[in-house]
Amino acid sequence: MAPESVALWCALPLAAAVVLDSLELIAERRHLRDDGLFALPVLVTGRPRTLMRGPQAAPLRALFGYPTVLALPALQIVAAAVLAAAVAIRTPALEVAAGLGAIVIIVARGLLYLRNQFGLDGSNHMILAASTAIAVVLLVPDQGAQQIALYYLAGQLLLGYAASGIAKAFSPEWRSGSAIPEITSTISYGTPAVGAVLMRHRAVGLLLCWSVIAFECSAPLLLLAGTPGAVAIIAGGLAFHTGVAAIMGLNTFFWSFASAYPALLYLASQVDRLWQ
Amino acid sequence: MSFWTVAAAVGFGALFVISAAIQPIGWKTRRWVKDRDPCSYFPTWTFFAPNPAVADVRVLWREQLFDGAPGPWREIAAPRAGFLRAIWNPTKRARKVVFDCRGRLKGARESDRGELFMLSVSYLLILHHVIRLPASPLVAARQFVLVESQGADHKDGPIEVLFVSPWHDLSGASRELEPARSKVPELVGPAA
Repeated sequence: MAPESVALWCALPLAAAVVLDSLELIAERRHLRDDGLFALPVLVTGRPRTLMRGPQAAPLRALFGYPTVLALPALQIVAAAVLAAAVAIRTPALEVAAGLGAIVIIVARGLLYLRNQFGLDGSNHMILAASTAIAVVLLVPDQGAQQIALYYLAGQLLLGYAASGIAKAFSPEWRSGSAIPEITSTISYGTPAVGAVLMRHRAVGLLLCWSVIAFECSAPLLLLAGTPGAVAIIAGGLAFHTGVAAIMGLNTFFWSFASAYPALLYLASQVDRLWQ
Repeated sequence: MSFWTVAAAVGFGALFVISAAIQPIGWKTRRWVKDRDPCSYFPTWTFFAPNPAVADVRVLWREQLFDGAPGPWREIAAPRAGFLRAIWNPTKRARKVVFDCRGRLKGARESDRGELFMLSVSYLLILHHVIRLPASPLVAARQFVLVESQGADHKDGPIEVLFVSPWHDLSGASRELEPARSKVPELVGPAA
């Protein structure tokens, strides 16, 4: 499959992640006001060099003020619509527009994160990584560069799984099997009814914790098996992120990580060639 | 090999190497890169490890009237459960701020400079929000507490008070509020 086609397959879940994340930010826009939890007058004190001094400070503060700042998630929704349109109607012009849309997403998100890094999670970072790779694939007319961009996206996915798997393997809470029952017992990141069941059945909690550790740590090794290994990673990842969304409420992880799966399959197809 | 291929190899290679170098938690490279990454481009993939969030962090606040009487405790950014969050969960950012605040508090206490916590942006974000909530003209001051709770609210799970803020004087701030934004009902007509 051509890198452009792979990038467009990546673009579909990315567009879903961007639209969902942006709509959620707009829905909670009260926190972007000067009396909200993300109040600009307080946030600028954490960025004195960028937002208080220098020629860029005044225009950035004007952009980050409420309600102007809502233009940033709104722009991303428009850019995500262009990405989705490029997937549905495959024309070279729309592919270029989708590449530019990916750049709009990177810039708008970069500005939002410059305003406020509080409340970010891994799904926000995966959106940036996927947008970067998709922009390069759709805008740079060089197959070598396009392939490297897709390898980068797949690499970030594997790095994400491996790093969090290794961190869990070093954690006493995860090794003992108490982490998932205790996380799911919270209201913020769990479902207390599910947590109560897991608290009563410690063996299930232990099995779940070690399943997550094994899945995350083994992801880079599974890739060595080529396409069958990538399919196993994707199946495990979809099950994992579905559970995380349903039980923990971290819904954008599903879409943002799914945006890297086509790139993983592409990388796996290159591994297949190595073994032939 | 074309120019674009070399440029992509160098650019993406650098991005990936930096991303990998900031994953180990104790390494100084993480802080160094994060301090120079204002747009938070580089990810740290920890995902509830090594220290998972095993309790809810809650922010409760109350106010004191000019006669000295304290009001009831109320909550901001209360956590919400339910399977609908799998599709729609807009409050998760506000919840994460509260968790981040707890992390800052823990870090300040571990470095034995707990008072610095009150200068952190996460503390100021919560304080600013609490102070700017609609107020009656009779309110003199407000304070908030960070509390850790475990389990569902209708169960008797353990509760631990992590931090109690001092009373913050509202004598200036409350008067800046426009009457229209106050949710205190106005008395109209003769009292019964």
